[in-house]
Amino acid sequence: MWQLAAWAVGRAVILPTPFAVAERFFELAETAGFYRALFGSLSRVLIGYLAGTLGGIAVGILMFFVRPARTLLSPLLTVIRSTPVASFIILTLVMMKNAHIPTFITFLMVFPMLAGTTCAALGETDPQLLEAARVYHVSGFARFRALYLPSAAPQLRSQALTSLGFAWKAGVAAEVLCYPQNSIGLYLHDAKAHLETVDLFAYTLLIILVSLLLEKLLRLLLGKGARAK
Amino acid sequence: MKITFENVVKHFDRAVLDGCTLQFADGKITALLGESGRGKTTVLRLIAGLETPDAGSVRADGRVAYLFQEPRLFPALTALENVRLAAPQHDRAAAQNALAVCRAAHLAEKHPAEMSGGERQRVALARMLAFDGEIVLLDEPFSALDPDTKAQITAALLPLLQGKTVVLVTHNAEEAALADAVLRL
Repeated sequence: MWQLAAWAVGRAVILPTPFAVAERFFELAETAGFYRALFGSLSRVLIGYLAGTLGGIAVGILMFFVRPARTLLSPLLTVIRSTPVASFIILTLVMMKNAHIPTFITFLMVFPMLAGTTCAALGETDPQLLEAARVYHVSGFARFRALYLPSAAPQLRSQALTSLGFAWKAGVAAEVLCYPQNSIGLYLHDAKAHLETVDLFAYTLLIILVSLLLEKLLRLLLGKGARAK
Repeated sequence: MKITFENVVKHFDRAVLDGCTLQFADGKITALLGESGRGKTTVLRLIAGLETPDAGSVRADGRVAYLFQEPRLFPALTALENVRLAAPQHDRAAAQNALAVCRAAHLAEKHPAEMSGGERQRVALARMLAFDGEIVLLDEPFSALDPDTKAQITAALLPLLQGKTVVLVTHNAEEAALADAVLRL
Protein backbone atom coordinates (compact mmCIF):
# COMPACT_ATOMS: atom_id res chain seq x y z
CA MET A 1 0.00 0.00 0.00
CA TRP A 2 2.85 2.35 0.88
CA GLN A 3 4.49 1.59 -2.47
CA LEU A 4 1.22 2.26 -4.32
CA ALA A 5 0.67 5.50 -2.42
CA ALA A 6 4.26 6.61 -3.21
CA TRP A 7 3.69 5.90 -6.90
CA ALA A 8 0.41 7.78 -6.81
CA VAL A 9 1.99 10.82 -5.15
CA GLY A 10 5.01 10.59 -7.42
CA ARG A 11 7.19 12.95 -5.36
CA ALA A 12 9.83 11.50 -3.04
CA VAL A 13 9.97 14.73 -1.07
CA ILE A 14 6.39 14.12 0.08
CA LEU A 15 6.24 10.31 0.22
CA PRO A 16 9.33 8.25 -0.69
CA THR A 17 9.01 4.61 -1.72
CA PRO A 18 9.72 1.86 0.83
CA PHE A 19 12.65 0.76 -1.31
CA ALA A 20 14.22 4.24 -1.18
CA VAL A 21 13.72 4.36 2.58
CA ALA A 22 15.25 0.91 3.10
CA GLU A 23 18.19 1.81 0.87
CA ARG A 24 18.78 5.04 2.80
CA PHE A 25 18.39 3.21 6.11
CA PHE A 26 21.21 0.83 5.21
CA GLU A 27 23.34 3.71 3.92
CA LEU A 28 22.91 5.53 7.22
CA ALA A 29 23.63 2.32 9.11
CA GLU A 30 27.12 2.40 7.60
CA THR A 31 27.94 5.75 9.19
CA ALA A 32 29.35 6.32 12.66
CA GLY A 33 26.93 9.18 13.30
CA PHE A 34 24.01 6.78 13.01
CA TYR A 35 25.31 4.68 15.92
CA ARG A 36 26.31 7.70 17.98
CA ALA A 37 22.76 9.00 17.58
CA LEU A 38 21.26 5.59 18.35
CA PHE A 39 23.28 5.04 21.52
CA GLY A 40 22.93 8.66 22.58
CA SER A 41 19.14 8.48 22.34
CA LEU A 42 18.99 5.02 23.87
CA SER A 43 21.08 6.01 26.88
CA ARG A 44 19.05 9.16 27.54
CA VAL A 45 15.73 7.36 27.28
CA LEU A 46 16.79 4.29 29.23
CA ILE A 47 18.17 6.36 32.11
CA GLY A 48 14.88 8.30 32.26
CA TYR A 49 12.87 5.10 31.96
CA LEU A 50 14.80 3.33 34.70
CA ALA A 51 14.59 6.32 37.04
CA GLY A 52 10.87 6.74 36.28
CA THR A 53 10.16 3.05 36.81
CA LEU A 54 12.09 2.66 40.06
CA GLY A 55 10.96 6.05 41.37
CA GLY A 56 7.36 5.36 40.34
CA ILE A 57 7.31 1.98 42.07
CA ALA A 58 8.87 3.45 45.24
CA VAL A 59 6.41 6.34 45.33
CA GLY A 60 3.50 3.99 44.52
CA ILE A 61 4.44 1.84 47.52
CA LEU A 62 4.69 4.95 49.69
CA MET A 63 1.30 6.18 48.45
CA PHE A 64 -0.33 2.84 49.22
CA PHE A 65 0.99 2.48 52.75
CA VAL A 66 1.04 6.14 53.83
CA ARG A 67 -2.37 7.74 53.34
CA PRO A 68 -1.18 11.38 53.65
CA ALA A 69 1.38 10.71 50.91
CA ARG A 70 -1.45 9.44 48.69
CA THR A 71 -3.57 12.51 49.41
CA LEU A 72 -0.64 14.78 48.69
CA LEU A 73 0.78 13.06 45.60
CA SER A 74 -2.36 11.88 43.76
CA PRO A 75 -3.26 15.36 42.39
CA LEU A 76 0.36 15.90 41.34
CA LEU A 77 0.39 12.63 39.38
CA THR A 78 -2.92 13.55 37.72
CA VAL A 79 -1.50 16.92 36.66
CA ILE A 80 1.64 15.30 35.23
CA ARG A 81 -0.44 12.70 33.38
CA SER A 82 -2.80 15.32 31.92
CA THR A 83 -0.15 17.80 30.77
CA PRO A 84 0.87 17.44 27.11
CA VAL A 85 4.45 16.24 26.57
CA ALA A 86 5.15 19.25 24.33
CA SER A 87 4.27 21.64 27.18
CA PHE A 88 6.76 19.94 29.47
CA ILE A 89 9.44 19.99 26.79
CA ILE A 90 8.99 23.71 26.15
CA LEU A 91 8.87 24.46 29.86
CA THR A 92 12.05 22.50 30.55
CA LEU A 93 13.85 24.14 27.60
CA VAL A 94 14.29 27.22 29.75
CA MET A 95 15.17 25.29 32.91
CA MET A 96 17.85 22.75 32.04
CA LYS A 97 20.56 21.73 29.60
CA ASN A 98 19.28 20.41 26.27
CA ALA A 99 21.07 17.09 26.72
CA HIS A 100 19.16 16.39 29.94
CA ILE A 101 15.68 17.28 28.70
CA PRO A 102 14.86 13.96 26.94
CA THR A 103 15.89 12.03 30.07
CA PHE A 104 13.74 14.24 32.25
CA ILE A 105 10.76 14.05 29.88
CA THR A 106 11.04 10.26 29.72
CA PHE A 107 11.11 10.19 33.50
CA LEU A 108 8.00 12.39 33.64
CA MET A 109 6.11 10.08 31.28
CA VAL A 110 6.98 6.88 33.10
CA PHE A 111 6.93 7.99 36.74
CA PRO A 112 3.17 8.71 37.16
CA MET A 113 2.20 5.57 35.23
CA LEU A 114 4.25 3.32 37.48
CA ALA A 115 3.33 5.16 40.69
CA GLY A 116 -0.40 4.96 39.93
CA THR A 117 -0.28 1.33 38.83
CA THR A 118 1.81 0.26 41.83
CA CYS A 119 -0.55 1.93 44.29
CA ALA A 120 -3.65 0.45 42.60
CA ALA A 121 -2.13 -3.02 42.19
CA LEU A 122 -1.09 -3.24 45.85
CA GLY A 123 -4.68 -2.35 46.75
CA GLU A 124 -5.91 -5.42 44.90
CA THR A 125 -4.07 -7.87 47.17
CA ASP A 126 -6.50 -10.59 48.29
CA PRO A 127 -8.03 -9.42 51.62
CA GLN A 128 -8.54 -13.04 52.71
CA LEU A 129 -4.81 -13.66 52.44
CA LEU A 130 -4.10 -10.45 54.31
CA GLU A 131 -6.36 -11.70 57.10
CA ALA A 132 -4.41 -14.96 57.21
CA ALA A 133 -1.16 -12.94 57.41
CA ARG A 134 -2.61 -10.95 60.29
CA VAL A 135 -3.76 -14.05 62.16
CA TYR A 136 -0.37 -15.74 61.78
CA HIS A 137 1.56 -12.62 62.82
CA VAL A 138 3.39 -12.33 59.49
CA SER A 139 5.64 -9.29 59.84
CA GLY A 140 5.30 -6.20 57.65
CA PHE A 141 8.28 -6.94 55.42
CA ALA A 142 7.48 -10.64 55.02
CA ARG A 143 3.88 -9.70 54.25
CA PHE A 144 5.08 -7.31 51.57
CA ARG A 145 7.45 -9.86 50.04
CA ALA A 146 5.11 -12.86 50.24
CA LEU A 147 1.77 -11.23 49.50
CA TYR A 148 1.73 -7.69 48.19
CA LEU A 149 4.61 -7.94 45.77
CA PRO A 150 3.62 -11.22 44.04
CA SER A 151 0.04 -9.94 43.82
CA ALA A 152 1.07 -6.65 42.19
CA ALA A 153 3.82 -8.12 39.98
CA PRO A 154 1.71 -9.00 36.89
CA GLN A 155 0.27 -5.49 36.68
CA LEU A 156 3.67 -3.89 37.25
CA ARG A 157 5.19 -6.08 34.56
CA SER A 158 2.48 -5.10 32.09
CA GLN A 159 2.78 -1.40 32.96
CA ALA A 160 6.57 -1.50 32.68
CA LEU A 161 6.19 -2.89 29.16
CA THR A 162 3.57 -0.35 28.09
CA SER A 163 5.45 2.61 29.48
CA LEU A 164 8.68 1.61 27.72
CA GLY A 165 7.02 2.35 24.37
CA PHE A 166 5.74 5.69 25.68
CA ALA A 167 9.17 6.50 27.11
CA TRP A 168 10.96 5.88 23.85
CA LYS A 169 8.51 7.96 21.80
CA ALA A 170 8.40 10.82 24.34
CA GLY A 171 12.21 10.83 24.66
CA VAL A 172 12.75 11.08 20.90
CA ALA A 173 10.00 13.74 20.63
CA ALA A 174 11.85 15.77 23.26
CA GLU A 175 15.07 15.37 21.25
CA VAL A 176 13.33 16.72 18.16
CA LEU A 177 12.42 19.88 20.03
CA CYS A 178 15.67 20.41 21.93
CA TYR A 179 18.08 18.61 19.53
CA PRO A 180 20.94 17.52 21.79
CA GLN A 181 24.18 16.28 20.21
CA ASN A 182 24.27 12.62 19.13
CA SER A 183 20.56 12.02 19.07
CA ILE A 184 18.01 10.59 16.65
CA GLY A 185 15.90 13.66 17.38
CA LEU A 186 18.61 15.95 16.03
CA TYR A 187 18.77 13.95 12.78
CA LEU A 188 14.98 14.04 12.51
CA HIS A 189 15.01 17.78 13.08
CA ASP A 190 17.72 18.31 10.44
CA ALA A 191 15.95 16.04 7.95
CA LYS A 192 12.75 18.04 8.41
CA ALA A 193 14.57 21.37 8.11
CA HIS A 194 16.28 20.31 4.86
CA LEU A 195 13.21 18.54 3.46
CA GLU A 196 15.12 15.24 3.36
CA THR A 197 11.99 13.13 3.60
CA VAL A 198 13.79 9.87 2.89
CA ASP A 199 16.05 10.49 5.90
CA LEU A 200 12.99 11.37 7.97
CA PHE A 201 11.42 8.03 7.06
CA ALA A 202 14.69 6.14 7.59
CA TYR A 203 15.10 7.51 11.10
CA THR A 204 11.41 6.86 11.83
CA LEU A 205 12.02 3.27 10.73
CA LEU A 206 14.93 3.14 13.18
CA ILE A 207 12.70 4.46 15.98
CA ILE A 208 10.09 1.78 15.26
CA LEU A 209 12.67 -1.00 15.08
CA VAL A 210 14.31 0.08 18.34
CA SER A 211 10.90 0.32 20.01
CA LEU A 212 10.04 -3.25 18.96
CA LEU A 213 13.45 -4.53 19.99
CA LEU A 214 13.29 -2.84 23.40
CA GLU A 215 9.85 -4.27 24.06
CA LYS A 216 11.02 -7.74 23.08
CA LEU A 217 14.10 -7.50 25.30
CA LEU A 218 12.13 -6.25 28.28
CA ARG A 219 9.49 -8.93 27.76
CA LEU A 220 12.28 -11.52 27.77
CA LEU A 221 13.86 -10.01 30.88
CA LEU A 222 10.60 -9.75 32.80
CA GLY A 223 9.53 -13.19 31.65
CA LYS A 224 12.75 -14.65 33.02
CA GLY A 225 12.23 -12.77 36.26
CA ALA A 226 8.72 -14.17 36.57
CA ARG A 227 9.91 -17.73 35.92
CA ALA A 228 12.76 -17.37 38.40
CA LYS A 229 10.19 -16.65 41.12
CA MET B 1 -5.70 -19.37 77.24
CA LYS B 2 -9.02 -18.06 78.37
CA ILE B 3 -11.75 -16.93 75.96
CA THR B 4 -14.32 -14.40 77.14
CA PHE B 5 -17.45 -14.11 75.03
CA GLU B 6 -20.24 -12.24 76.80
CA ASN B 7 -23.44 -10.52 75.63
CA VAL B 8 -22.03 -10.12 72.15
CA VAL B 9 -24.01 -8.27 69.53
CA LYS B 10 -22.87 -8.30 65.93
CA HIS B 11 -24.82 -6.95 62.98
CA PHE B 12 -23.94 -7.17 59.33
CA ASP B 13 -26.96 -6.67 57.09
CA ARG B 14 -28.94 -8.34 59.90
CA ALA B 15 -28.30 -9.29 63.52
CA VAL B 16 -26.03 -12.33 63.34
CA LEU B 17 -25.39 -12.44 67.08
CA ASP B 18 -27.78 -10.74 69.44
CA GLY B 19 -26.63 -10.75 73.07
CA CYS B 20 -24.78 -14.03 72.69
CA THR B 21 -22.80 -15.46 75.62
CA LEU B 22 -20.65 -18.55 75.15
CA GLN B 23 -18.42 -20.35 77.60
CA PHE B 24 -15.41 -22.16 76.23
CA ALA B 25 -13.67 -24.48 78.67
CA ASP B 26 -9.97 -23.63 79.10
CA GLY B 27 -7.64 -26.26 77.71
CA LYS B 28 -10.52 -28.26 76.23
CA ILE B 29 -12.07 -28.79 72.80
CA THR B 30 -15.48 -27.18 72.37
CA ALA B 31 -17.52 -27.97 69.28
CA LEU B 32 -19.72 -25.17 67.99
CA LEU B 33 -22.74 -26.42 66.10
CA GLY B 34 -25.58 -24.65 64.38
CA GLU B 35 -27.31 -24.19 61.07
CA SER B 36 -25.74 -22.12 58.30
CA GLY B 37 -26.02 -18.40 58.89
CA ARG B 38 -26.29 -18.69 62.68
CA GLY B 39 -22.96 -16.92 63.19
CA LYS B 40 -20.51 -19.75 63.91
CA THR B 41 -17.79 -18.29 61.70
CA THR B 42 -18.54 -14.82 63.09
CA VAL B 43 -17.86 -16.16 66.59
CA LEU B 44 -14.44 -17.42 65.45
CA ARG B 45 -13.67 -14.14 63.64
CA LEU B 46 -14.58 -12.16 66.75
CA ILE B 47 -12.33 -14.32 68.95
CA ALA B 48 -9.49 -13.97 66.41
CA GLY B 49 -9.90 -10.19 66.46
CA LEU B 50 -10.82 -10.02 62.77
CA GLU B 51 -14.18 -8.44 63.66
CA THR B 52 -15.11 -6.11 66.49
CA PRO B 53 -18.41 -6.63 68.35
CA ASP B 54 -21.09 -3.94 68.12
CA ALA B 55 -21.69 -4.53 71.84
CA GLY B 56 -20.57 -6.97 74.51
CA SER B 57 -17.17 -8.31 75.40
CA VAL B 58 -14.83 -10.61 73.45
CA ARG B 59 -11.33 -11.39 74.64
CA ALA B 60 -8.75 -14.05 73.91
CA ASP B 61 -5.86 -14.33 76.35
CA GLY B 62 -3.11 -16.01 74.34
CA ARG B 63 -1.87 -16.58 70.81
CA VAL B 64 -4.79 -17.42 68.56
CA ALA B 65 -4.28 -19.85 65.66
CA TYR B 66 -7.15 -19.82 63.18
CA LEU B 67 -7.75 -22.42 60.52
CA PHE B 68 -10.09 -20.78 58.02
CA GLN B 69 -12.68 -22.66 56.01
CA GLU B 70 -10.53 -22.01 52.91
CA PRO B 71 -6.81 -22.87 53.06
CA ARG B 72 -5.72 -19.25 52.37
CA LEU B 73 -2.16 -20.25 51.56
CA PHE B 74 0.13 -17.60 50.08
CA PRO B 75 0.31 -18.48 46.37
CA ALA B 76 3.86 -17.21 45.81
CA LEU B 77 5.34 -19.43 48.53
CA THR B 78 5.93 -23.16 48.69
CA ALA B 79 4.14 -25.27 51.30
CA LEU B 80 7.23 -25.25 53.54
CA GLU B 81 7.63 -21.47 53.21
CA ASN B 82 3.95 -20.97 54.02
CA VAL B 83 4.26 -23.05 57.17
CA ARG B 84 7.63 -21.54 58.19
CA LEU B 85 6.22 -18.04 57.96
CA ALA B 86 3.73 -18.90 60.71
CA ALA B 87 6.16 -20.87 62.92
CA PRO B 88 7.76 -19.05 65.86
CA GLN B 89 11.16 -17.67 64.69
CA HIS B 90 10.32 -19.21 61.29
CA ASP B 91 11.72 -22.48 62.62
CA ARG B 92 12.32 -24.83 59.70
CA ALA B 93 12.28 -28.01 61.81
CA ALA B 94 8.95 -27.06 63.41
CA ALA B 95 7.49 -26.39 59.97
CA GLN B 96 8.74 -29.72 58.59
CA ASN B 97 7.39 -31.54 61.62
CA ALA B 98 3.97 -29.89 61.24
CA LEU B 99 3.89 -30.87 57.56
CA ALA B 100 4.77 -34.45 58.49
CA VAL B 101 1.99 -34.62 61.11
CA CYS B 102 -0.50 -33.47 58.48
CA ARG B 103 0.84 -36.01 55.97
CA ALA B 104 2.05 -33.22 53.73
CA ALA B 105 5.86 -33.58 53.98
CA HIS B 106 6.03 -34.56 50.31
CA LEU B 107 4.35 -31.25 49.38
CA ALA B 108 7.07 -29.11 51.01
CA GLU B 109 8.47 -27.69 47.75
CA LYS B 110 5.15 -27.38 45.94
CA HIS B 111 3.24 -24.15 45.46
CA PRO B 112 -0.49 -24.04 46.32
CA ALA B 113 -1.43 -23.93 42.63
CA GLU B 114 0.23 -27.33 42.19
CA MET B 115 -1.82 -28.98 44.96
CA SER B 116 -5.31 -30.45 45.15
CA GLY B 117 -7.93 -28.95 47.48
CA GLY B 118 -7.29 -31.64 50.10
CA GLU B 119 -3.51 -31.12 49.93
CA ARG B 120 -3.91 -27.38 50.39
CA GLN B 121 -6.12 -28.00 53.41
CA ARG B 122 -3.46 -30.27 54.92
CA VAL B 123 -0.79 -27.60 54.45
CA ALA B 124 -3.12 -25.04 56.03
CA LEU B 125 -3.55 -27.40 58.99
CA ALA B 126 0.23 -27.70 59.22
CA ARG B 127 0.57 -23.92 59.24
CA MET B 128 -1.96 -23.71 62.05
CA LEU B 129 -0.05 -26.35 64.03
CA ALA B 130 3.34 -24.71 63.43
CA PHE B 131 2.02 -21.39 64.73
CA ASP B 132 1.63 -23.10 68.10
CA GLY B 133 -1.28 -21.00 69.33
CA GLU B 134 -2.63 -21.45 72.83
CA ILE B 135 -6.13 -20.89 71.49
CA VAL B 136 -7.01 -22.79 68.33
CA LEU B 137 -9.99 -21.93 66.14
CA LEU B 138 -10.95 -24.56 63.58
CA ASP B 139 -13.58 -23.71 60.99
CA GLU B 140 -14.70 -26.99 59.42
CA PRO B 141 -11.09 -28.18 59.28
CA PHE B 142 -11.65 -31.55 57.67
CA SER B 143 -14.26 -30.66 55.06
CA ALA B 144 -11.88 -31.00 52.09
CA LEU B 145 -10.30 -34.27 53.23
CA ASP B 146 -11.16 -37.80 52.19
CA PRO B 147 -12.28 -40.16 55.03
CA ASP B 148 -8.94 -42.03 55.29
CA THR B 149 -6.80 -38.89 55.42
CA LYS B 150 -9.24 -37.31 57.82
CA ALA B 151 -8.99 -40.29 60.22
CA GLN B 152 -5.18 -40.30 60.07
CA ILE B 153 -4.82 -36.54 60.55
CA THR B 154 -7.35 -36.47 63.36
CA ALA B 155 -5.45 -39.20 65.17
CA ALA B 156 -2.18 -37.26 64.78
CA LEU B 157 -3.71 -33.90 65.57
CA LEU B 158 -5.63 -34.66 68.76
CA PRO B 159 -2.59 -35.26 71.00
CA LEU B 160 -1.05 -32.01 69.73
CA LEU B 161 -4.17 -30.07 70.70
CA GLN B 162 -4.02 -31.38 74.28
CA GLY B 163 -4.08 -28.54 76.79
CA LYS B 164 -5.06 -25.94 74.20
CA THR B 165 -8.38 -24.14 74.21
CA VAL B 166 -9.93 -25.30 70.94
CA VAL B 167 -13.13 -24.11 69.28
CA LEU B 168 -14.22 -26.46 66.52
CA VAL B 169 -16.93 -25.34 64.09
CA THR B 170 -18.47 -28.31 62.33
CA HIS B 171 -21.64 -29.66 60.74
CA ASN B 172 -20.42 -33.19 61.20
CA ALA B 173 -21.67 -35.15 64.27
CA GLU B 174 -18.64 -37.48 64.08
CA GLU B 175 -16.28 -34.49 64.33
CA ALA B 176 -18.34 -32.98 67.14
CA ALA B 177 -17.84 -36.22 69.06
CA LEU B 178 -14.11 -35.41 69.29
CA ALA B 179 -14.96 -32.43 71.48
CA ASP B 180 -15.10 -32.31 75.28
CA ALA B 181 -18.14 -30.04 75.12
CA VAL B 182 -20.71 -29.00 72.53
CA LEU B 183 -22.32 -25.58 72.14
CA ARG B 184 -25.23 -24.85 69.83
CA LEU B 185 -25.94 -21.50 68.21
